[in-house]
Order: sequence, then structure tokens, then C-alpha cells
Amino acid sequence: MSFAELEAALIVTRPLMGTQAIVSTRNGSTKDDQHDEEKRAPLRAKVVGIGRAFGGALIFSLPMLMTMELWWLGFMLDRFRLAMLVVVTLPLLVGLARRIGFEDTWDWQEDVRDACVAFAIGLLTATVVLSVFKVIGPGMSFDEVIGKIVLQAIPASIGALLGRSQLGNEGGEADKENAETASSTTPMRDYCGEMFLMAVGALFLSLNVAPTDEMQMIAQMMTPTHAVLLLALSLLVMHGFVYAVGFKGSALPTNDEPWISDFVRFTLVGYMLAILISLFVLWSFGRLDGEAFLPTVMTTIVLAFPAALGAAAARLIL
Amino acid sequence: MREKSERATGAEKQAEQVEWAIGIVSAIVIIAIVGFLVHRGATATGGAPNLSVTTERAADFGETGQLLFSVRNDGTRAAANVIVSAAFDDGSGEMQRRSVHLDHISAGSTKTGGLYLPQDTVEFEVFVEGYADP
Repeated sequence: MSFAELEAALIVTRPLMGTQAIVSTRNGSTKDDQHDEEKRAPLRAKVVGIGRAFGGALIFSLPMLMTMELWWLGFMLDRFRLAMLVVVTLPLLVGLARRIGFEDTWDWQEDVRDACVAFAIGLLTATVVLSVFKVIGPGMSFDEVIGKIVLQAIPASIGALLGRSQLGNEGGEADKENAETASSTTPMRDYCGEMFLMAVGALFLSLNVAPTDEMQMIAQMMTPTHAVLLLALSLLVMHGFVYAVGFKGSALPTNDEPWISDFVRFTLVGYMLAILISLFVLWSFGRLDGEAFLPTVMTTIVLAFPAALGAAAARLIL
Repeated sequence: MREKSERATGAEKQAEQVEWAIGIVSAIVIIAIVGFLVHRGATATGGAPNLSVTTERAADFGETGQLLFSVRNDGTRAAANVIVSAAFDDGSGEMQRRSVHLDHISAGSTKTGGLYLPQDTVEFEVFVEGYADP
């Protein structure tokens, strides 16, 4: 049987229904079915995207949902600082939605919408998990319950947006799209994008460990010499992660650019971001209240170590 | 076409200059941090914590009074498990004692806390009982 005969056999013409002819296609579905499917496809993609967002929120925020210092901060934290954390997080979510959100977006309004959805998913995830853990419940003040939920919603909402890129299976297509759109961006925008991702990585990892007493304890056990060594180690690991040890996604050193160029333009700036974000997170959590300058610097350097790792990892993963 | 590529090269050069400028500023800040740490390491390490307690204010809460205090560490080392106590006379003629425990106080830092004392306290004295090395 020739291909033409096979095709003819597969296409079955049905009786006319009124004036509309319904023609079955090769896979047996009708035009109406196709139309329905086309209508359902975006809805299905949305549901899948939201499902992944919940998955991401849970996976990325579970360590924090199970950390008692973070529960305590929910009611001890100064409300102004908590509000500041939320205010800083929201534009970050918009930026994340732009780059790796849980669905493709075309304009900033959609990014803002997705950021709000991610935050709502973060709130819902935190509410459900904290309720099941009995960390929140009847008998607690409204202020305490809200504080605990909002604080946990911050990492959970970042996790919700990371859900798509890390749990989705369309990485290849997305990468292709990114590669296609990359040609339309400017070098400055690329650089800012890279710094933005580093900031997200640094914030995420520092949120994981900043609430714990260990940050200050480590800083108190260390001498300034240890702090200098930790700073050097942070820079070394940060640069090595991206340029030297050849992880998936790492940048290969090029012959035309000396190593110092990448080190100054990316690693040092990335570490500076890690320092600033660590300082902000420690201040938000009240970890620097009453502290002198030296302990402040030491604790910041301690937290900047995981933050720097987070920043380097974000460059590779996101 | 040539003009377009020249424009692209110009944008790249400009971006690189900005990147270098931000990188150099970051390097200066990091070097300043290292310099500060080296200076402090050379001049202000070793020694012991030097803890002093100050009564900030006493407030009444029904049948109890709250004594708010601050503890300052003027030493060059952090102190952990700092115990702050108040010895007081509640009018019975015998000195009573109540204590509170502070997790840690870094060198040069101040921590605050409170102690509940009976309303009929005649006189009291607040002091640091001791500490442990972190």
C-alpha cells in the first residue's frame, strides 16, 4: 500500500450534519475535539504550572517550615522589619517571574500577576503545613499566626517560582527560548540579569540559615583571622563553583579574557551582593540589635558564606 | 550592517566598563573589610569579657514589678550563658535572689532583659553572676 492510499484509508469522511461537514483527522479526533483541546490546553498548562508551584513552594521551604527559630521570629520579629522583608521580596518575585516563572509571560503586568500568585501560593503552603505541624492553631493571637505565615511565605513564594524551572520538564524548550531571546538583550541587561539571579540565590540560602543561633555562635567563636580566611574561602568557592570545577551550567574560561576579569566583574560583585543581602537579612531578623561593629561584620561574613554559595549555584542552576 | 555591529561592540564595551567599575568598588569594600578585620585581629583579640549591668527602669505590673536592665560587654571577647541576678529585700529582712540567663553578648555589644521582683521590694542590687566562653 502506498503512503497516499494509507492516508486515504485513514481519513474517513462522515455524513454531513446540516451544513457542517465534520472531517476526522489522522489520529481520529474531530475538528470540534481539536477545538476543545486547544481551549483546554492553556487551562491544563495553568493547572500544571500551579501544581508545580505548590511542589516548588513545599520542597524549597520545608527546611524553614521545620525550623523552630523561624516560628519564634514569626511573633518576635519587629512588624516594620517583617513588612520590609515582604516589600523587598515582591519585586524580586516579579523579576523571577519574568525570568523563570511558572508559565511564559509576555508583559510586566503578567509578571506582577504571577508574582502575586506565587506569594499567595507561599501563604497557602505555609498555612497548611504550619497548621498540620500545629505550629499555628486556636489559642494563638492573630498577630502571632499572621507573623508566622507571612515569614514562611517569603521562601515558599520563591520556591513556587523556582518550581517550574527545577521541577518542570520543559527545560530544553525554555533554554531554547532563552537562547533565542538572548540575542535581543543587551550586554548590560545580561549582566544585570546575572546579578539578579545571584541576589535571589543569596537571599534564598541566607533565609535558610540566618534565623538560627548558630550564625552568631560561629561568629563569636571565630577570631578576626578566621573571618578573613572564611571571606577568602567564600570567594574561592564562589569562583571555583562557576569557573573552575566544571559543574553543569558552569562557564568555561575563555582564552581571550584573563581570569581576573571574570573574578572582578562577577565573583567580587556577587560576593558584595551576598554581603549586602546577609546584612539585610540579619538586620530584618533582629540578629544585629545591640551588636557592636566587629561582631556585626563577623556575623555578616559567616552568613555571607552560604549566601555566596547560593549566589554561585543560582548562576549555574537558574 | 557594519554600523550595527559597531553599535553592538560599543554597547559591549560600555557594559564592560560599568561591570569593571562595579567590580572595582566591590573590591575596595572587600579590601576595607579585610583591612578592618586584620587591624582588629592585631589589636583587639584575646583578653576576657568585661560585663557590666545597668538598671534601665523599674515598671509596675499589678502585684509584681519588672526590672529592666542592660548588660554591656566592654571586653574584647564574647561571653556566653551570661547569668544576671538581682538580690532584693522584700521587707522580710532576708535577702532573696532571682536570676535570668542571656544566651550571649558579643564584645562591645549590649543586651537587654528583665527580672520580675515583688511589688513590696525595699531595696535591690543587680549584678552579673558569671559567663562561659562561647
